[in-house]
Amino acid sequence: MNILSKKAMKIRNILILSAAISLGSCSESFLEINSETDLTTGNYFQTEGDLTAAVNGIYAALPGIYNNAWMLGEFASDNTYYALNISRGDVEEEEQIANHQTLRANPNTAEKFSANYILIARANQVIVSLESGSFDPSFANPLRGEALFLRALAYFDLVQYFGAIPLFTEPVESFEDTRQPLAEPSEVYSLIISDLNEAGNLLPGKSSQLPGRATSEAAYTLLGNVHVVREEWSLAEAALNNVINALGLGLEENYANAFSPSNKNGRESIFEVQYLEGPLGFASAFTYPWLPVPLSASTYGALLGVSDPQEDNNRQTFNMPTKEFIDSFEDGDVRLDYSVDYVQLEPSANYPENPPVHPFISKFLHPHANFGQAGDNWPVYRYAEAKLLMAEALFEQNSGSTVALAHVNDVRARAGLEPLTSLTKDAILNERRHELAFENKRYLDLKRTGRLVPVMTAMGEAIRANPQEYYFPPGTTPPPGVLTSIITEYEIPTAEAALNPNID
Amino acid sequence: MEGKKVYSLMLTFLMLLSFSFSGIAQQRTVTGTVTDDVGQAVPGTTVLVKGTTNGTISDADGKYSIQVPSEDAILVFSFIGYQTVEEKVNGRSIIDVLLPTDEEQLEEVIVVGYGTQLQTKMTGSVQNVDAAELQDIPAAQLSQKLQGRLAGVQINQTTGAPGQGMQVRIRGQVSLSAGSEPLYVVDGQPITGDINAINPNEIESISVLKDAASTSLYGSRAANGVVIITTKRGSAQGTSVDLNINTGFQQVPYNLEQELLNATEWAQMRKEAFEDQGLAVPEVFQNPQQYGEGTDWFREITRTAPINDISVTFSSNQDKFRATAIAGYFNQKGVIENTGFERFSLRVNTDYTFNDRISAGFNVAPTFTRDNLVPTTGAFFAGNVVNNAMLTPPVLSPNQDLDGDGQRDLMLDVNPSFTGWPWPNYYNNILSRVNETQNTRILSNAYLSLDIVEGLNFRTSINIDMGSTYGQDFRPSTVAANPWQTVPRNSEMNIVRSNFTSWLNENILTYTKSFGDHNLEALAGYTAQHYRFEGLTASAQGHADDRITTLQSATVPGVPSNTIQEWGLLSYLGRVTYDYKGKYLLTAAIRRDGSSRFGADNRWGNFPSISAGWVISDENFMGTNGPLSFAKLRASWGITGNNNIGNYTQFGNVDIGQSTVFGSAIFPGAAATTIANRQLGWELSNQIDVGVDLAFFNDKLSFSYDYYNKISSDLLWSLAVPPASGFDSFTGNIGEIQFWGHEFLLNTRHRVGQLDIQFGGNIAFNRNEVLALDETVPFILNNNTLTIVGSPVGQFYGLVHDGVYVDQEDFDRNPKANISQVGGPKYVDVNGDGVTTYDGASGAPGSDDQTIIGNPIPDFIYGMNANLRFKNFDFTIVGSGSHGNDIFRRSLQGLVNHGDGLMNVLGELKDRWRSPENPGSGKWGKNYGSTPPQDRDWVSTNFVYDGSFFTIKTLTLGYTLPANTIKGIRSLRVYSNVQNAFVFTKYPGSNPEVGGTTTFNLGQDFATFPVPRTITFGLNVGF
Repeated sequence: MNILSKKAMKIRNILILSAAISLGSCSESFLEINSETDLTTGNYFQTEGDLTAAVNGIYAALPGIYNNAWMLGEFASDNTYYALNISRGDVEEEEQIANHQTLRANPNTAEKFSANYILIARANQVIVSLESGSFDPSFANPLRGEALFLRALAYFDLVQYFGAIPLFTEPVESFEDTRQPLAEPSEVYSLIISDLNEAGNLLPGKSSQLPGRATSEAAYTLLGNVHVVREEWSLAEAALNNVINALGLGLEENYANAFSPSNKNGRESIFEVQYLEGPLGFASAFTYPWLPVPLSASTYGALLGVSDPQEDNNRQTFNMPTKEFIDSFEDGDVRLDYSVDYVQLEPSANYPENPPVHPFISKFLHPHANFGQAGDNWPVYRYAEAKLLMAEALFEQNSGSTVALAHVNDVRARAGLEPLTSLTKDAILNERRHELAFENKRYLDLKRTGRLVPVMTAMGEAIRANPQEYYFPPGTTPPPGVLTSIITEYEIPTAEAALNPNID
Repeated sequence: MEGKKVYSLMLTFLMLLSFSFSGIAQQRTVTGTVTDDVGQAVPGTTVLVKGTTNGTISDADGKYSIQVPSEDAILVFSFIGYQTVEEKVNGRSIIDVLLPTDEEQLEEVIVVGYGTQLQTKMTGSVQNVDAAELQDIPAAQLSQKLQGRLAGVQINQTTGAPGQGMQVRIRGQVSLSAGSEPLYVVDGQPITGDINAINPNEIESISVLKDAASTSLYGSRAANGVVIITTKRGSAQGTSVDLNINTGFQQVPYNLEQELLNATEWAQMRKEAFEDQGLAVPEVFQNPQQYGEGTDWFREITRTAPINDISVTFSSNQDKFRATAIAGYFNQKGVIENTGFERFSLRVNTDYTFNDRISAGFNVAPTFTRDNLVPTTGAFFAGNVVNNAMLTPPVLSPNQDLDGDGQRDLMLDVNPSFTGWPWPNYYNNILSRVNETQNTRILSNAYLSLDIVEGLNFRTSINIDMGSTYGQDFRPSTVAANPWQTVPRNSEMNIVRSNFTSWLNENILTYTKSFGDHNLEALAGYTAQHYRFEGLTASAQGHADDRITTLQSATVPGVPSNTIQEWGLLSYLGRVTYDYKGKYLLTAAIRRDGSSRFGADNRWGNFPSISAGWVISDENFMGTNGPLSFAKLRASWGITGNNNIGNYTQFGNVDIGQSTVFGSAIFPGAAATTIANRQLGWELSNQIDVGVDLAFFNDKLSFSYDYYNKISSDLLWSLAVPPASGFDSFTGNIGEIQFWGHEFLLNTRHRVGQLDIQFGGNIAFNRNEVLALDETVPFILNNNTLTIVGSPVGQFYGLVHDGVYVDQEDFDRNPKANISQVGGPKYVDVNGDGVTTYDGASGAPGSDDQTIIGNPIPDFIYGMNANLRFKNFDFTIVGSGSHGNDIFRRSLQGLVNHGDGLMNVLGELKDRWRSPENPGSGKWGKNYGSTPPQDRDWVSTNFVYDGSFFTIKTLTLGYTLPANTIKGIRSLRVYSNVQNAFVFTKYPGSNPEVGGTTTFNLGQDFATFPVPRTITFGLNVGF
């Protein structure tokens, strides 16, 4: 018995086929299922809100770089050294840096390396997402400018310390993407310079930008700095021209005011890393590792101004101003008193009787409410530096430049010093050393001017000749070989080399 | 007298008439002989007229004689151990019957993926178990019933917690991070929830698919093997009711406390601790004898517990319609106080045949379970009540009532000179803690089957699996989890609510055709499955009153959280099965799966397979004489996948908490924190299988052998990436692990007079070896196990214990660690650097003295089952065992804390080193006077034991009443059953099947819920 007529069978077959086809056609969306409880790269970086937040996320990576930038910026230079605490046992990895005996696996170089690249990855994501989405240029351009500026800032930091580095300009999308070969410094600088030139155009000026965000003046200052490092003096001058005469920028009358937490993003500030005092996780604590040990809790309280002082004496003292540095200031330089302070130590195993007074960096020390939660911003570029960079660029083109001399003398005048009558390279460098003391400029200044090796070697000899002047307690000596082999460029950290077959 | 003659004539006539009206003209006597397939008479065979209670029994010669009411009557011949045969009378008066034996496995029809197959024509590696063999076993979980019966399948009961803890591994399958459990398919639906919610009494048969060819139609989910479950649908014509009642009790047959110290010994050890250090012995310890035996804490927290399993099956099979309903109630109290598991289940399966072309069916199976458990996992002081109770010093009693209020004290030992710490009363903890979970689960299927033309069938089905869970875990303010805590303390309530829904639509077109001796079956299909899960957890602490446990009455609110998980799967399948005369067999199959879990650039995967068989015994050259009655060679190859890789792993996470400051305000920020992987895919398994199936003596003895070799690759793992990328890890597919092994299966049937013996045995040798990981992953250290190229996965990793430093000379002569002392433990200097180093979890191979110290994988696993029938008695014994596996007894780390003197410790510590003159057994070092870092914390061979075991899993003795003994009852059997009857092992811990269910805690014992011995009595009644 054939219940189904041929026609009915045909209809049935067609129905079946069409059901199958319709099921097949909705397959794409059926298989695209994204998380509803977490945002993912599959559904983010698409709207204006997403990109605004993503740019803020780039800034959020800055503290990771600047919290400990003093290690390679100052601590490896002749400005500072450490005070040995004999109850701390083994040589610490930070001491390796001061002694230029840094091992490749040192976590501090690894931290600088990875912190910069975290920022770069975030910037790349923003840049690529802004390009591929269809955003209004009035929205996209300033954000692109910020991302380019911040990326250039990070690459500039990396290329100065590490030389040839991996170059990423896009977000990684596969395992192979994570392993890039080293790019020559010239290639890195190429990217930095083109990024900054573009950023300078896209970013608003300081007078119309939200305080704390990148501005075109910041981009041009960084660009000027880049050209000075590369000794491209006329290009530096051209870039810095956009800054020197910018609206709303000028020197604070009072040096201290440039660093005051109540004057954040002030008229002298070109770019600062933003922090916020308090328990929310945005506080800074720069001074803490630099305070001499041991001190009593009440001394901590008096110095820091906190209502809950604690003892924090189980450590070495890092980044201590050297006597040579302190002595290098001219008499009457207000910057010395502001930048360096002194405190009487408590007796300890280091000094059982008659403990000495030790100096420490007071530049970023301002009273705050709770222990470990200060609110100091970190100055990346100040107008004073822009003037000094311009002075150097002009000087290098014409050693008799009066404009250059005027810039230097403006800075000196603010410091309470007599004007110079003529400039030398050393005079400019010394002015930088004192004006920008402890702002992570010194090591790079010495390196770019070829002075690093002789200066640090001499410091090594001075340490061996008089260890106690360099804060070694009586009866202790510096480790063998300190400052005999000066590191002018750091090896790519083990953390990267071990996982990247492109790097030895 | 004339009248009498007429009267008797009329009577006769009337009788004749009445007989004719009652059809006596057709009533006849049928006789015959019942024999089995070797010509032997089968006495005691029940011969029934179908649909009536009219029956008889064959005599000692197998002869019978029965009155049948009509020539259309049907006679039913049945005897236990033989297949039931029905014969239509059809006017015959002599009907001789041949009863084929029941376990004719070779002629059985086996359920395989998407269809059925004759055992003789099977080319893949499949083992089938009939649920009738399992019905006597009272167990909450199906897999408990399967232990000992499946070749090459390791089923471990890792904990005795009711309703939990079964670990099933087919062919030694392990992965690195994806799951290793097989796929469970119930009535054609791959289920997404727990297999535990299903009442095992609903099950008709179970097929375990082991090789790639048999599993390949499950594609990306089949790499761990597939277990196909078919539920009862009623087969015999007519209506029947079956009732199964199984009730009894469980006891814990061992006492872990025996390994520890009693009160006198503990006080004595405390006394010696002070003496050895040259300190004055406190008064409480000066006379240890005064404390007697003390408290046996293991006995205190365990109890004898009842177990009940009742199920009723209604089955009705009419012409066009059949329905089966199975209702069940299961209740198992746990052998630890205040624990238990309860299940209510119902299943209704219906099938309707419209006509000879169209049929349809509908099943629905709701289940409700409720359990209450105390935490019994984890290391000491991680809240594991078994561990913590046993650590309690035996001088303390749970019934202590120092404040005289008639209630047990919440904290024991408030006198600090015993231990220095107040101890929580763990007995009270167990009684007052509430940890209840309720689960509702519904499985449902509906199908329509259409024979379009002859040989061409279309079947479409919709299948649903949904469930919801409600859990509450309340720790009252009177309960402290750990000894250094005091009560009363903040109570804590955790609530979990979740539900999931999964639907599956399958559309299968099957074409069957025979051309002469060529038989062909082709199948094509398209399926879509979708799953969504939503869960909510909320917690709060510090309730004002322990009687009100709501979240709002707590003073410290927690932060609630919710979660959503979802996936989708689309598949195409195809299979062609061909055979020539049933002698040359060939099957090719492929499944193409597209999954939402796979990366966007790798969405679809293909899973092909091919298998072939040759029934040598059908060849002419084999002849027909000789003992060999069946011989088949088969081989298969296929690719399957494991898709347990997480639902959203392919995406990079974006953290929207990356805020920043501008000026003095905080601005929200976002950043990607992990890398997306558009290439993310399934774990791949590439397997070949070669097997031979033999049968001897007219299929009375059957034997099977399989050799398999499979390579698992593309294992899901998190790789470290260079930091210049801005990230530190990437989840990708890496590595290769090779698995291979041999499986042997034997079944035999023997009749000696009236004694029927059936015996089955299986043994399997499973091995694995890591062939490759990744260039960035030279090895994996996880949970004190090492996975490294050249070794099997998850090897135990630690130091090699080498005695103690007996005296100063021994100490000076040997390598040591900087914390070593004379009298302390000595370890082998494996890396030869002259010092003893232990880097714990970060000790890369060669960097310290750790090495591979044990292997949780057995040399072989085996099982046996035997069934004896004599007259109406039946006896069954099932055993399973494992040989050569090591157990990592991590729970010992908490039991060798002898330095503190605060806890009960292993009795072996009486033989610790006490002085150079009294160095003890060399296994344990001296009492350091404080927590000994090495004996306890340095993981070494001291904690590795041989875990070989053989367990008599089931012992059953039953008696079946002869048919028709009681009017109205079709069959009645009473039986008695012992589960986990005897465990033969050298392992001193409680349960040699112990271990975690993931790769990195295989064979690790953290002192879990004890596994009981269960004794029950039962009744099977058929109406």
